[in-house]
Amino acid sequence: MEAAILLQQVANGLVIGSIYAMVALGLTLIFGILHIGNFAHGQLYMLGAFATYWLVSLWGWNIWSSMFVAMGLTALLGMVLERIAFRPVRSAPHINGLIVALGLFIALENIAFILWGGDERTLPSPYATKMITLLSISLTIQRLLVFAVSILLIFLLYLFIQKTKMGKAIRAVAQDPEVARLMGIPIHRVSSTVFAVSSALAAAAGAMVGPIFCVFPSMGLIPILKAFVVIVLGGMGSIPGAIFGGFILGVAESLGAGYISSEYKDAFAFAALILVLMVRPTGLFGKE
Amino acid sequence: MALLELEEVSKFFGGLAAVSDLNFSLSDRKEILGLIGPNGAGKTTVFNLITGLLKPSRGKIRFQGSEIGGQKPYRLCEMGIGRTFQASSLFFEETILNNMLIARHSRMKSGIWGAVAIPPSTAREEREAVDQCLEILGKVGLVSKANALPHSLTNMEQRLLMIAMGLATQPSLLLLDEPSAGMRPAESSSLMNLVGQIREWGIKVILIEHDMKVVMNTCDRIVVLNFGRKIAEGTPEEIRAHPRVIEAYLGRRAGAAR
Amino acid sequence: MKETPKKTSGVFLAILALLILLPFFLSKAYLHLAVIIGVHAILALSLGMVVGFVGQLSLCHAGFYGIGAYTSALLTFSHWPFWLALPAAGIISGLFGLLIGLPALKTRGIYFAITTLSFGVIMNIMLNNWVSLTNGPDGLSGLALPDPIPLWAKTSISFNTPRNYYFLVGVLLLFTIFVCRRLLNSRVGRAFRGVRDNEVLAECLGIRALRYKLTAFTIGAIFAGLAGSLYAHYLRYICPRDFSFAESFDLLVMVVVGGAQTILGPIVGALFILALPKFFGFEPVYGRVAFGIILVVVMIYMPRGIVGSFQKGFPSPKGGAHGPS
Repeated sequence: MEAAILLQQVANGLVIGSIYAMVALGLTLIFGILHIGNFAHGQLYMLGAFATYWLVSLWGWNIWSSMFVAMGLTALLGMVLERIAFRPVRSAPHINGLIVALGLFIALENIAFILWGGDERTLPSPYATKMITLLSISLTIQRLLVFAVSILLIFLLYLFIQKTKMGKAIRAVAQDPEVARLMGIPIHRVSSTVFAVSSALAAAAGAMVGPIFCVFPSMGLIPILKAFVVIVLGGMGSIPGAIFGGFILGVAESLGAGYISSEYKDAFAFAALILVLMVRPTGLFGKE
Repeated sequence: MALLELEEVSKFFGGLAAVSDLNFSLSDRKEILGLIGPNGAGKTTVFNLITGLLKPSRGKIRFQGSEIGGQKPYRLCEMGIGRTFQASSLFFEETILNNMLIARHSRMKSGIWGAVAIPPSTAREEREAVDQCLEILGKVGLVSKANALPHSLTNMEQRLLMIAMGLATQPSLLLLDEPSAGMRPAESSSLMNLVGQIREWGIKVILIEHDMKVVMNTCDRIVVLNFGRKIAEGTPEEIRAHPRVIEAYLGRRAGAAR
Repeated sequence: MKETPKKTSGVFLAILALLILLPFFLSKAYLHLAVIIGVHAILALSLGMVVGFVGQLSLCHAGFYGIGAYTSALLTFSHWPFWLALPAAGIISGLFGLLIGLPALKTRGIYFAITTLSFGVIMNIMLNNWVSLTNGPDGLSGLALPDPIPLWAKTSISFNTPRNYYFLVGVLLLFTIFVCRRLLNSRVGRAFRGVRDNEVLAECLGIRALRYKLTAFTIGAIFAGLAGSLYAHYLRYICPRDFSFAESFDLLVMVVVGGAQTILGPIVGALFILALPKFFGFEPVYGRVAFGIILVVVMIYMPRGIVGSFQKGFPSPKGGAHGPS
């Protein structure tokens, strides 16, 4: 009986963890090439969720095509933001970029509030109600899909980074922008691509979470904060750190909520962050 | 008792030995010690080890008898070790006088209460500090620029300011890292006169320099480093003719031809 | 920029006189706004101590504001007079500043920002969930007004009107400005500025960077706590939402847009951010959108803020530099 509950908690944790991993992945990619903690990333998650919501509710599209299109739209928005807000501060002290990101974060959240109000909306999904039970773990199909799709997207991203020419360019810029520039790598295009890919990932995360946890303008705050926790703990700019960190955080939180306290579960991530930074002020794998 | 002692000091970065088994010392005699060697020999690393920016991987550094390896930079400044840096290290948003007053920090005492209430003791301390800083600026010839900002100074004046700031910390040992970089011969000559004066004031000096003429004319004793190891130590005459030194700077062929 | 000291004092006195006469001509609504701006000016200055004085981005400052407010509220509920609860609020906030600053200030840059953000979120979660202490999301209502200050002949200054509260806030704002000025122009202030501009050089010159960062952070927390108490007993109702990350963000906008490294900057920032929506009849939501965009624009084109862009380096102390004698 005890084992069953434990397995259930772990399973839930892995589902949530995959969301954290996706958001953290986008964040760490951006940090790797721009050295800016892009706070506004959380709003791309929210906007991706809303875009999917409207496509499904207003135009009756099915959830997969909606998510796909939402990813595309959000990628475009990410590229626009990179061009007008982040590129100008790329060579300024990194704190300036952080403040720019904060500004965008608040602006986007409140624009969403103005357009769509603060109500929580459920994203209708045909998978949200049916459940599967396997090895005494019960999950809705939606949750299972979240996990599966996340793994798929993460895997695709891994292939992209490791095997494609652009992926190599991204890694080069992350390692040493000056040398990359001298080698003729188009930094601007790399920057745009990273923003596009990161934003698409965030949008996918938001779209998949919508049917489970509702869609509303301030839905981006806690996930982005947790994504920051993940990348600080896993190493800012480290892709494996973001992926594994995301899953570990998800499971730790789920276990904490189940066995310690449910109201304070959000606090665990932050408490863990503070503890780690006290011991290693640049994160577990940080090098700055 | 020696003022400064380095005993078998080594510093490793990963597999690279920046400094290996270094031994030298300074006594209480008035002295300017030159620290020279080709680029990358480890000279600035030695300074960083002495001033607490780096911790020795092996060996001991002693100052006035106590071990100082790995202590924090501010503690070493309080103990009396001052330094300048190779690149212009100044507070560019502050006037020259303010730069000096900031450097004077460790020789003053007032805290928050003094700041907010300004009791007579604090007011007096501030006045005295301004006078003392102006006096030091006078000794290096920068008094007229006391209210200017650093970016309006010439290269030489900026380097003089760095030295003045080092002096403001009231050191018993002053480490100068390539103070004459970028100077014309007349300027570096005048700078070395100042360094000689610093010696006469009783402050021991360790000088890193690339200009050989300057080093030979100014230093009382020279330590030569190459690849992190000491290859020679002695008076300027001894060093000038030392085969290993010549080899290090000019290469084996020139040494053989000599 | 060679203003004689007499000229700046003159301007300052004129503005002071204006501000003293102002409440007698303002409508109740504007007076209310003035009090709120005053409280936020103190708050913005207190954040300026951290962001401006030592150059670190703190994102949990509203938490100290909240701790001050709740401390003051709970103490007055236990029958403490306001005039004792006010300084107590500052002290307790300062204590939290010390406790949080000690670990947080070992980190730098973005790590510091995220650490403070995490602390801020935790503080807010606790305010919301520790219902037995704070009454949770519903907040605390029915807070007492400051006790009247007795004067001569049986009259006293009571605080049930915005006008008298305006003066109370004004006095505290002047005190805050006074402390800021004194600190900045002292040995302590030089240490702050040194740490901000070149921490390594400052350490090599004998300045204990961590100690001074912690000092600025703690003093900032103390004044935020005082502002919290003022706020609590003016509105007489507080809830956790008033002290959330949104508030920390607003404060940051005020400080950054006004000019973090100046004293006038945060005050101008507070005025700008709070008065703008009211003058144009904005809803707060539209205001936030505007602030976000303004923040982005300022960071790109005017990173030193409105007031800061006019400052060309910190001047020498007044007694200094009369040339060689």
